[in-house]
Amino acid sequence: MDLLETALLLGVVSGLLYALSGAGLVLIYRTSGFISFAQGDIAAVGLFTAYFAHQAGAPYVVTFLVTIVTCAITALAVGGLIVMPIGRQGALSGGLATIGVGILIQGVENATVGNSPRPFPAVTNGVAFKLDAVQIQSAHVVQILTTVAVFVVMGIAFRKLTAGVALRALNEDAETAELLGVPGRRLRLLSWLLSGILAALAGLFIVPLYTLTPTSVNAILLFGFCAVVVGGFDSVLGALLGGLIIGVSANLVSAFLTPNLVTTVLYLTLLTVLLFRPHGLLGRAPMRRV
Amino acid sequence: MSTVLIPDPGAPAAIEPALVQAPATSVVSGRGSLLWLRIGLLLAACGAVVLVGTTGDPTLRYGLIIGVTLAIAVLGSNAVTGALDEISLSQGAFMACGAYLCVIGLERGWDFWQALVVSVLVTALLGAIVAIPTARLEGIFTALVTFALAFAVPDLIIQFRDQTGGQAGLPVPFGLTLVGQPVGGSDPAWLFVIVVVFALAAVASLLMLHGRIGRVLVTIGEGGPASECFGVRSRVWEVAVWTWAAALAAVAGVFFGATIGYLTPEVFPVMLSIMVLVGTVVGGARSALGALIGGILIGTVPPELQSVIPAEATGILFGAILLLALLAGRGGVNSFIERTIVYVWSMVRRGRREAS
Repeated sequence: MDLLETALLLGVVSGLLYALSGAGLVLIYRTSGFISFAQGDIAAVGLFTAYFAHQAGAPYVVTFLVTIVTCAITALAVGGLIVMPIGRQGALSGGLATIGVGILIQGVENATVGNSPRPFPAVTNGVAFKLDAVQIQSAHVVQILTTVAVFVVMGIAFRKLTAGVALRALNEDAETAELLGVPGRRLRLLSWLLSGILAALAGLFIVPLYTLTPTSVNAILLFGFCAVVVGGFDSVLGALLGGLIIGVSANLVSAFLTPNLVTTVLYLTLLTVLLFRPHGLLGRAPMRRV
Repeated sequence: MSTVLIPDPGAPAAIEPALVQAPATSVVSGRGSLLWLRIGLLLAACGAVVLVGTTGDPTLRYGLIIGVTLAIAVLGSNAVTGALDEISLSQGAFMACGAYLCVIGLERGWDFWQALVVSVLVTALLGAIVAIPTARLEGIFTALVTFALAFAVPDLIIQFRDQTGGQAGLPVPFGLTLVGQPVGGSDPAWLFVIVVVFALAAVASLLMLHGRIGRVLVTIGEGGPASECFGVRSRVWEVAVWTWAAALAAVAGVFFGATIGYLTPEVFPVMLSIMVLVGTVVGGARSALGALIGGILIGTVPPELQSVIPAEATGILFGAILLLALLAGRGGVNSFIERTIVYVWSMVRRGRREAS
């Protein structure tokens, strides 16, 4: 059952990638109440900058750092200057603003660097080890370790660090939190900064596989959305679990049915989960006041 | 920001509050006493479009045809955003559905109007089925789910390549007629037909919004769970609104396909749905005139821009337009137009009152 093994393994690897893409979305959702459709485009800005640095001869470490820093700055600028001011009108406006920023960035990229695919360096090349007939790349191993590390750190930070607890308070009830002295604006900017870093990390693992174009990270974002919805927005572990479920099912569908049905399966999964367990598998059901 | 053109009633040389109260409320809420003004402005704008289209050059006419077609889809999106306060990113998907069903019907030898009616009904049915789960979601989740649908449809088109022609596409048959007028291309008569269809749908939308239906919908959209406490069966109404949006998208899709002449998955990308949303936000979500303005904006500007910047980079302009429209508040272009009219009218009334 080589096909099954390969599909399962690829599913786990890509699933963790989706979970990583989703992590940045969770951060912004928890502090601002909307989903940022611009995550992929913020990642693309950093990745293109790093690409040109790499072309100019920079080693991978520098490329890596350039991506992270550029994405963090871009995310801060996008969040602080554009989305947060518009987001004061309401969550729907905030979501629309991220759509606007996303297509604006894509347009600028299309106009300046064009949309022909470019190869992007991977963390490492070569095969780490073989499991039966399936090869596991070293890059995948690094990716898995990084993803797990990121989630562990996020989980601890949300519980132990003051800033983490403050972010959760802001998400629960922004008005009360601010009355109690939680610096809302600063924390939201922090969440944008962190989401930029997470977007950069996700992008760094995605584009070596799929080549770099203005929309290469965006396409994965849909899977990231689904991962966090399935797993639950409230739960960091949920995003991991959701990612694995989405990754494995997408790869199984692609291997045993047809790749064209993957997006449909994704849509149906999203719909089903949102209907029967809207807060996700591991999330908490919110209470609403009428 | 929201009362910039209506001076503070407390100021000494102020306009009497009673003079502007009803119109001002109507401007802000999108319903109320300005109904006949809105219908009048809409019909005047439609007339202007037909005039400019028939006497202008063929490229402009083609742009207007695409623009008014998209305006029909924007009208559907307006119903969802204006009444229910949700984001629909699936109008492009239903446009594809309507277009492909129509052409498949035409290939079986049906008349154009038969294919049109059947494809709209079937798409509306599919829209209702999809809407039953979608209506149970709210806020950003409906945006997500409709976004996922917009992504899924081009792949589905490729999957069912036996019926849809897949990547290779499906040509729209020549020589179609509707009420004796030629269909497709950049014929002035075709522009007239599309504008008439838009005007009918738009007037219907305005009448519904300003009447009892609108009152119920706004209660659902703005009141949320509270509407259930008042005896409103919000699920049913929400599904109805989504179905209306899907039906309008199907009509738009049929006209879109007929105008372009050839259907492929690339004709209905995710970007199309985003463009329709931009049209809604820019024009004003509760405004039919706004739908016309928004539709013409997204229909005419990209071809005009292509001589200046590459086609893919039109995102710069539309991203900027969307952001500016959001910064200006939720009323859109239509809101500015109406505020100016109300302000001028109130100045005139005040002048006459002081003179008497």
